[in-house]
Amino acid sequence: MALNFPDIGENIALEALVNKTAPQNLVLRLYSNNITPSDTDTAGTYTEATFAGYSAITLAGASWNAAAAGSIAYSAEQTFTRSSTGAPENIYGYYVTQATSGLLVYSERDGSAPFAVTNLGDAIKITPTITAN
Amino acid sequence: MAWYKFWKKKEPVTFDIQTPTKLQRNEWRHGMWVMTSKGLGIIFQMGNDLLIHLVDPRTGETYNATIEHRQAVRQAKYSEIPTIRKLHLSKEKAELLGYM
Repeated sequence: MALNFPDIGENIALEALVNKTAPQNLVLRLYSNNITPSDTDTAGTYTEATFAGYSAITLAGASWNAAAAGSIAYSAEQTFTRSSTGAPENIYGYYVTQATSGLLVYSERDGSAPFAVTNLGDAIKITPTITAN
Repeated sequence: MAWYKFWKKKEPVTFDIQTPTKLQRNEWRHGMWVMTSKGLGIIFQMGNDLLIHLVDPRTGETYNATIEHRQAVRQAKYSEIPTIRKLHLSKEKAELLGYM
């Protein structure tokens, strides 16, 4: 599915583009409420996952590959792995915030959501990629 | 009067190039709030038709999906967007996004 840059995320990108506001590392987070991303969203729209072993992942600026053909990708696939079996938690997608401000930058809901993360070793894998068109 | 024209100071010309202050973003886009015959929704996927996720106006969460012709939907109004999904969006800012 397509990434959704809400109004607030577009503003962050624009201010970074013209060097008005310094960019920050991004933080990749899974969400567990049944949200379809919209352009009015903020970070508070999303309920972050809490399953055992879950931890948000910081995406270091230096670890992004060089942009090419209007697209930029993170250098490695990122994995969220459940560390013990327990009550299932439905995961609908992910959202990305700024590391310092906590502001929402973009989000994406998977077209096959939800994914029930239940058992030890259940994993969700994401390679962050942004394409401009 | 040719000499007068020669000595007359030229008036400066100002080219005032302005971008719209109220950009209307009415084009269909992912994440756009729309109203369908089945209720409030968000555009999730666009092709010839629109895949729209229907949203509960009270909770702001998705409860179903529908495929609609573009002619069958309209952009939602600010007042129709669930409060919980526009907590930090003033009416003025919403208008810039096309939500009148």
